[in-house]
Amino acid sequence: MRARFALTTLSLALLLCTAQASEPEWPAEYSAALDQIASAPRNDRALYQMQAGVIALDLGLNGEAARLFDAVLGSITAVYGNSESAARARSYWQEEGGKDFKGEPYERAMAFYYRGLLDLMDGEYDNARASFSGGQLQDAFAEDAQNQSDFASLSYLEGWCGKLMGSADLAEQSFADFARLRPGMPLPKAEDNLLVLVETGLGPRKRADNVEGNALRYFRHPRSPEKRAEIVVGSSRFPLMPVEDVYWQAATRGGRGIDRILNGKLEFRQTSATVGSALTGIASFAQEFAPIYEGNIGGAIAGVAAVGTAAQLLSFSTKTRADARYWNNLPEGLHVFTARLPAGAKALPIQFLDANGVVDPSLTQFAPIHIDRKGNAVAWLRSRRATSR
Amino acid sequence: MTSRIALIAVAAALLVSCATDQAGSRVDNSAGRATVYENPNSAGPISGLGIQSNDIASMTDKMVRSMLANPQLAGRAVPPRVQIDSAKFTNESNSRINKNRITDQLLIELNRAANGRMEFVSVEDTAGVEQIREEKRAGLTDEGTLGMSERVAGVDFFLTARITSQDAVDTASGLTTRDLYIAFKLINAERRTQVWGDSYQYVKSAQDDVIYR
Repeated sequence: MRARFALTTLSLALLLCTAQASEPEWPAEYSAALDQIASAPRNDRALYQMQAGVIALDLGLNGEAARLFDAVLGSITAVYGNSESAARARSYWQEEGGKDFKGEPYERAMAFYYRGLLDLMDGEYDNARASFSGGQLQDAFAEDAQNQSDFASLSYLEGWCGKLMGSADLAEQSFADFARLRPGMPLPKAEDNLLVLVETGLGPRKRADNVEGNALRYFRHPRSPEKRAEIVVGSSRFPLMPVEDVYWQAATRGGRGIDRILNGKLEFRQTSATVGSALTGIASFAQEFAPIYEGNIGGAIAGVAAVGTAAQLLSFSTKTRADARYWNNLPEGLHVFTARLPAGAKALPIQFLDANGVVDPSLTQFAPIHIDRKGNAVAWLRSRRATSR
Repeated sequence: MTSRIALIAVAAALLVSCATDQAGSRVDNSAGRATVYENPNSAGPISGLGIQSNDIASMTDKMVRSMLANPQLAGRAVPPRVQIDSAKFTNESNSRINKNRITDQLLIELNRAANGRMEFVSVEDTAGVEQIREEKRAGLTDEGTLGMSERVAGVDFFLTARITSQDAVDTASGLTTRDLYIAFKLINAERRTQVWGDSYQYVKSAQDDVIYR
């Protein structure tokens, strides 16, 4: 009996060891990002998955990044017709931040951008194109008509995928959209099969602004001086074409549907505060003169005071704050360059410049070239690590 | 007078309790949900505008019936050899699609329903087949029970599909509509002629909550 018990214990211990040994050893920053997802409240999970996805991609863990962005896209594309979390976010007593995070349109579009990039690296051109196109659709909800579906980078990448798919029609259509959004910028040549995609700077920040925090405002990251990128080959410089300003995408979206609800909440909060303050003021005033009245006036005054206090409580309980959660490791700018893949090339040296054209040598690095099974290639690089803030 | 005061006090108490109760509900203490089996032939509890399992089930069912009703395919004295490979499927839609999911289901359902009236050539298993053929010919293994053939099977027909979609967005209301169309064609691998064709289409619309618009 004792021997059997010992054997069972040993087997269990061995099983545990095997399970532990089979868990991959992730780099510390990615492990930390996974821990954040695991401990995050359900309504924040997609946000942490987005951030962890970029960290995984930055570390070259493309499989992990794909898994995370699949989950993110699942959250984004799920239609919240009548969910409890959505209803809570609309209620007077809950902040907008209580809703399940999907991000603002620029964040959703960037999630599609990263999923498309991963597909492109895998040689899945049609699914990459579908992702870039899906991202453009997320940007269709801008209030200002001229800023709807104006993610030029996504049109360019859609066109690039169309070209790699061998579909002249699809490529032409997307490049025409790109040319409309970025007139005069060059298009890839027929023989090009290398796409260099470089991200610069740190992405926009959100803040719940206004006295009551009911308005969402966007700010450029203050520590993001690099605005341009170029490939360095010997003494030659090949500047990358700036195709996207993510801050601009965030800031030009216009009003949101929820803004009107937040304004309504604010109005309710202010009205109930005014009513409550007036009633408690009246009660307090009447209390002073109570002795000169006959009968049970004290009870009536107490009732008025109670209603006033209740109205003030309603005012305090009304949550008007806008949802300022934001994807904190997005870039500020996207830059592209295309060429014929040089034979034997494994990586490209990239340097970064500020708005005055001054190179920051501390940011210079190599962009690894991913060659897919069809012989086409993508070189992707960020100016700063995905864990930079 | 006393009853009026009592009424006001009760109303106040109700208002206060209502406010505090709602504020207290900020903590998400909702219970979980036990695992339940969902019907793959019907829309799941979470859905969007993309292709879902019930779409693939409906599409597969329609294509299998259509192909087997075609005498050029299912009525031949010698069963034709058909290749179904996701590499010949093109996704031009706005939805990411796992094409293997479509071809796998199509292949399994067709194979089952055809019941020998068609043969399916598995090009993706070529490497595995080659290895076993080499082992047999090198004498490492015996011939098996089917005997050996001089060459692997050639393909008579191959299936292609093009998935396209058209999206429309009403930016004022947030209503989005997706018209997804999949055109299937069976091509004669010698003559390039199309021997069969059919399509599957859906139009879905959805409006997300105002908090996401």
